Amino acid sequence: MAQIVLKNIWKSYGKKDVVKDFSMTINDGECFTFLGPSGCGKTVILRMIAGFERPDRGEIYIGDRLVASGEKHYSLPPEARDIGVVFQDYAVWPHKTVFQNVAYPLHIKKVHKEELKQRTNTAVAQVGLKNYEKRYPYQLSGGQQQRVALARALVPRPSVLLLDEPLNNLDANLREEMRFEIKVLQREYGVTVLYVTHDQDVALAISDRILVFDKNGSIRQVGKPEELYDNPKDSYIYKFMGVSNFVPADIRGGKAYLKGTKEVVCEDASFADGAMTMASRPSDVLLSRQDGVLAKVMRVAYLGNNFDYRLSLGDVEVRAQMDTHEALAQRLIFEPGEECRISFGKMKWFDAEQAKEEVL
Amino acid sequence: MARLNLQSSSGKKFGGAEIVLALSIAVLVVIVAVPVFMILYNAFTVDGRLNIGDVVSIIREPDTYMALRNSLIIALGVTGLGTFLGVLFSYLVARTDLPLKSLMKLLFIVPFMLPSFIGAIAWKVLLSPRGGYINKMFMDLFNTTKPLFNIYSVAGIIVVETMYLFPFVFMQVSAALERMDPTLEESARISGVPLGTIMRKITFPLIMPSIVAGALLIALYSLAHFGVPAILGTEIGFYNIPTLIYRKIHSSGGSFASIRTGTVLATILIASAALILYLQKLVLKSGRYSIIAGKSMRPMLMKLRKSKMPILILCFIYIFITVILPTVTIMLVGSLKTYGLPFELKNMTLRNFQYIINWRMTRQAVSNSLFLSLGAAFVTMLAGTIISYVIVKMKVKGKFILEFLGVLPFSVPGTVIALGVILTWSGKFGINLYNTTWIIFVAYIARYMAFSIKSNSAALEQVHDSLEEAARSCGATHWQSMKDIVLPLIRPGMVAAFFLILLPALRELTTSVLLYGPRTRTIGVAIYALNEDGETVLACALATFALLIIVFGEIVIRRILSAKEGGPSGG
Repeated sequence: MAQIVLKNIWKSYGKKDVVKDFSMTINDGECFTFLGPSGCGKTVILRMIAGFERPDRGEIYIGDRLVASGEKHYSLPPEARDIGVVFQDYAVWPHKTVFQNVAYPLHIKKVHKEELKQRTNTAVAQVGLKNYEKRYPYQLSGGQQQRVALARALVPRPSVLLLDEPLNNLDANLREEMRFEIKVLQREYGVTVLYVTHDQDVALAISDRILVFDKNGSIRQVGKPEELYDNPKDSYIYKFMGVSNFVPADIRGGKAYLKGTKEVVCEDASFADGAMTMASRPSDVLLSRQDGVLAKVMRVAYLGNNFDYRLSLGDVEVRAQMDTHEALAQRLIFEPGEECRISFGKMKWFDAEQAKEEVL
Repeated sequence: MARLNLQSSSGKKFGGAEIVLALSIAVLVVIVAVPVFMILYNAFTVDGRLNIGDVVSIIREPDTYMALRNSLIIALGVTGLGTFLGVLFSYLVARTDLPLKSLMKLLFIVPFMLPSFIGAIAWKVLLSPRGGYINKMFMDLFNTTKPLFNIYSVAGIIVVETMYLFPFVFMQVSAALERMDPTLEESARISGVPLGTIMRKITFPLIMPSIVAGALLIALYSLAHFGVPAILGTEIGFYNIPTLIYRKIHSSGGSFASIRTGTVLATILIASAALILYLQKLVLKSGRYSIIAGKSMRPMLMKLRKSKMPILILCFIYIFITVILPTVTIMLVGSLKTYGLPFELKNMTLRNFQYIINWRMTRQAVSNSLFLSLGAAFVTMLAGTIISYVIVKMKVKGKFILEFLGVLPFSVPGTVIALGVILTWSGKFGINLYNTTWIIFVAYIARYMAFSIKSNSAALEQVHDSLEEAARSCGATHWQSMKDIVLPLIRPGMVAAFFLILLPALRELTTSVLLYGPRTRTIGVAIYALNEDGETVLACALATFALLIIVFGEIVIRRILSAKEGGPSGG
C-alpha cells in the first residue's frame, strides 16, 4: 500500500547534478537503507520524498499517489504526504515539552482530546520516556531527544518513516541500543522505513534491503544485508561492508603470487593468467610461525578478546585479528618488528584494474 | 495547479515565496532606497541634467567647507579621546583586580542610554562661559573674570560627545578581552615573558581589530552627530554638517537652494559612512582569528596593588562627572523658579513640572513621541521579521537585494534620512506628508529598519531549518509551522527589536528636528526648541520627564530580556 516509487529522478544545484536518473522501488513495510559516503546525494533523495526539495525531472509516488513530478512542476507539500521524518539533529522543538512535541501531529490533525492524550502517552512510553512528559528538551540527553523525535514521527501512524542519519550524534552505546529500538518500532507500526546513513554497521543491523551508493551518486549494489556482505559485486562494496585487506596478486598457472614476487598467497586460484586483487577480512587472516607468506609485524593492539595486528606484506598493509585464547594456547603472540607467516582463509577475488581505488 | 504551487515553500519559479519577497523588497525600496536615491539624484542634477560643477561650487562655499572641516575635527577628536577612554576602562574592568568590576561594567555603559543632547544642555548650564554654575562658582571663589572652562568651544563639544560615545569602544574591547583565549597569554608567561611585554606583544595585537572597529563606530556616529554641536556650537557660530543642513533648511523655510546644499552635504555623509563601514568590515574580518573560545577559563589579572583604591576612586569620579552630575543638574534646574538662581531650597518649585504637564505643546510632544516610537517600533519589528525570514529562511533568487537594502540604513545618518524623506514624501510622488506626524513615522521606520533586521536575523539563524521541516512533516502547513514553531522561538528576538527601536525613538532628535511641524513636535524637538528659546528651566523640566521614561524603559527591557533568556525557550 505504501510503497515508495522513484522514477528517473534528476536534481541539480547550480551546475552540479547531485542526483542523476535515479530509479528505485521501496516495498511496502520494508526497512530500506540508503548507504553511501557523504555528498552522494542520498539525503537529497530523502528530502525529495519528504517534499522539502523538488525533483528537476522524474516522478515520485508514495503508495499510489503521485507526490512530485519535475516535468509537471508539481510537488505535494510535505504536510500532505502522510510521512514521518527523523532528523540528524533531532529537531525537537525547544519551547515545547516532551508531551507537547509528541502530541503536535495529533494536535494538527485535530484528534479528539482524550484520544490525543492516550495515543501520545502510548508513543512516549514506547520510546521509553514515561515520566519525562513534562520535561523540556534542554533537560534531556541527546539519546532521549532522539527518542522524542522518533515518537513524534510515529504517533500519527504515517505510512512512511524517513530517517536521515538519526544516530549520528549519539555515542556508540546509545547507537547500538537505538538501532534495535527502531527495528522493533518499525515492526510494531508496520511502517515503510527509508533509512539514510553512511554507517554500514547500522545498515547491516536494521535493513531488509540496502542500496549502496558510490561517491558519484550512482547505485553500486542493491540487496539484502547478507548478500552484500557475502556476495559483494565489486571491491567498493566489499570495502564498504567492513575492515578489508586488499592484496595485489599475479595469477600464473592456477596459483596466485604476491604481486612481483614468487611468494604464493593462494594455491588454488583458477583464473586466467594476469593481475587480480585478493580481498579478505582481518578475521580470515591466519597467523603462524611456519606456514604461509612471510610478513612483518608493524603494530599490535590488544583489544581484550582479540589481538589486532598490522602487518606489512610486500608493500601493502594487512590487518589481522586473532582470538586471544587461541593466540595464547598456540603461543602465537608477536611483537612489533618480529616476522611471521600468514595465510588467508576466506577470500574474494576482484578485477585488479577496478579494485585500484580501494587498494591504497 | 497554481493553487498547489502557492502552498509549497521551496518553489523555485513560482508561488507565495516570490510574492512575499516582492512585497518585502517593495517596502524597503519605498521606505529606504527611494529617499537615499532622491538625495543623490538632487545632489548631482539640476533640472534633470547631471551637473558636477555645481556640486564643486557648493563644497567651495565658505560655510559648507567650514562645516566639513568642523565635522572632521570633531570626529577625529572624539574618536581619539573615546578610543583612549574605552580601551583604558575596558582593560581595567576585564584584566585587573579592580574591585566592584561588574558594577563598574554596568555603570560605564549607562551614558549610552542617556540622550547626548540632554547631557549637552546640562553641561551648558554648568560650564557656559558666564552663566555656567561651575564657572560662576570658580570666578567668585578666585575673584577672576576668566571662566574655568568654556563649554562653547571645539574642545567642549569633543569632550561632551566623547562621554556619550566612548561605550562603543568599551563594549567592543571588553567583549574581545573576555572572549580571548587566556592560554595565549599564559603560554607566553610560562616562557618567562614579563607582563608588560605580554600586553604589548600579545594582548594588544589580538584586541586591535576590536579597538579599531569600535573607534570606527565612534567616528561614524560623531561625524553625523547633531545634538551636541547644535546645543554647544550654534551659540558661537560653529557648525558641522548636520547642524549646517538644519540651519540652511530652517532659515530658508525649505527653499530648493538650501535643500540642494543639504543633499550635497548629505552625499558626503553617506560616502564617508559607507567608507567607515567598509573599513570596519575589513578590520573585523581580519580579526576573526583572535576570538577563540575559552570563556570558562580565567584570564590572568594584573595586580594594581597600592594604586587599586586611587584608580577605583578615579573611576567613580569619572562616572560621577559623566552620568550623575549632568542628570542631577537637569533635575535641579528643572525645579528652579528662574534660571540662574542658586540651588537653594527657597528657589525650588514643582510648578515647572506642573506647567509641563498642563501645557498643550509639551503634552502634544509627549503623546507624539509615544505614538511615533510605539508605532514605528511595532511596524518596524513586524516588517523586519518578515524581511529577515525571507533573507534567512527562504530559498528565492534575488534575496541579496533585500540583504543590501536591509543594511543600507546603517550607513545613512539621521539627518540624511530626514532630508531624503522630505524629498520623497512632499508631494513629488503624489503623497504629501509634509508637516504631518506620518512623515516622521516613515523616517523612523527607515532609520530603525536595520536594527530590526539585525535582531530578527540573529534570532532566526538560531532556529535550525529542520525545526520547521519537522513541523511540516508532522502535518503542519507553512503558516501553521510559522505560528507554532518559528514565531514562539524568535519572540525574544522580536521583543528585543521592539525595544531596540522604541527607546532610541523616544529620545530621537536628529531626524525629527528637520521634519517637525507646528503640531508634530517630539519630546526631543520640544526640549531642543525650549532650550533654543532660552526657556532653559522648562527644557530641563521636560528633560527630567524624558530621563524618567528612558530609565524606566531600560529597566523594563532588561527585566523582559533576561526573563526570556532564563525561560525554557532559551534552551
